[in-house]
Amino acid sequence: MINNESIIESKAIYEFYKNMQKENVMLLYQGDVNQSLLNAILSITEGKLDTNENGSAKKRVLNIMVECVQNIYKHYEHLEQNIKNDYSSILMLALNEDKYIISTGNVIFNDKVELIKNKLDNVNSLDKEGLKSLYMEIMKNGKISEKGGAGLGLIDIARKSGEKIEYHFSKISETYSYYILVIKIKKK
Amino acid sequence: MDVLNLKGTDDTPTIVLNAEEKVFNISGRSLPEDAASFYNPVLTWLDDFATTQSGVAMKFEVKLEYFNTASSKLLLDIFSKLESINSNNGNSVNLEWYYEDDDEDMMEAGEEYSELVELNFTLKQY
Repeated sequence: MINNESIIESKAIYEFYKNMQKENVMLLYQGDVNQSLLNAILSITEGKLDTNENGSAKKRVLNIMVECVQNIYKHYEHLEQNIKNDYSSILMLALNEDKYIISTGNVIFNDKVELIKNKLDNVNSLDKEGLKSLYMEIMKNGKISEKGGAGLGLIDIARKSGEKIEYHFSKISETYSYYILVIKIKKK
Repeated sequence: MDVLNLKGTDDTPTIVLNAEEKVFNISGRSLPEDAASFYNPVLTWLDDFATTQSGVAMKFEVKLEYFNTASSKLLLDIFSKLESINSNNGNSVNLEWYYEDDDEDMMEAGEEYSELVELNFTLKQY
């Protein structure tokens, strides 16, 4: 598609745009992730969803965006600057027929991969009631982990999504992997 | 006692806790990264209330548009404080949980909190 042309060449930008349009990409962000970015992303997303979206789906999209962004920067604060420069985060919102698709990508330490994978597999194995029980259990007994979350983030994402969370880990080096999450939210 | 008055921002709620005027409410968006620090003054204020006030019928209103999971545990901590206020010094607490008419998640969140604490919980649609 791009034929060795740099993506910043004018023709390549047009191709890039056409691909984004084909996939109904509503928002694509690549770079540093922090709380002020979160506010900007929320207001852009709200504007894009405003016109013809019902309240529940809109709020679910926004809520999941918040959890995703805060999840990313929880991982990022422990990384060294050079890896942050080489591998920034991505956040994308797209619309695929009757579903919103939120995708995120960020660097994590390899030694976290197993733990995150287990959490995701656990969350994906539970139905609506199972997720509620787990949520209530952690609310009652869970301690706030050293990363600031009570492990509620992924559970909340799964509950609001109502679909299995897709994920992928790509090994970058002996120390790091790139972690992709894909979350779907039904339009109603 | 002192009035706690926090003006809302893009990611933190408006909070008014005023024992004299009997106004107790949290409203807006609660999306802080560090929810524990943000809510610490609220928890301290409620501890203070518990030890100094008596015979107050508290109507505590929560009207949130969004809250993140970091806030969800802190909201439970606040409600647990209200639970202990409720059974002491002749104070009583009625918690009013507001949700927008098409926001079933916020309604369910209210129901879940009502299962987690022993408080008079009223769910109110707006």
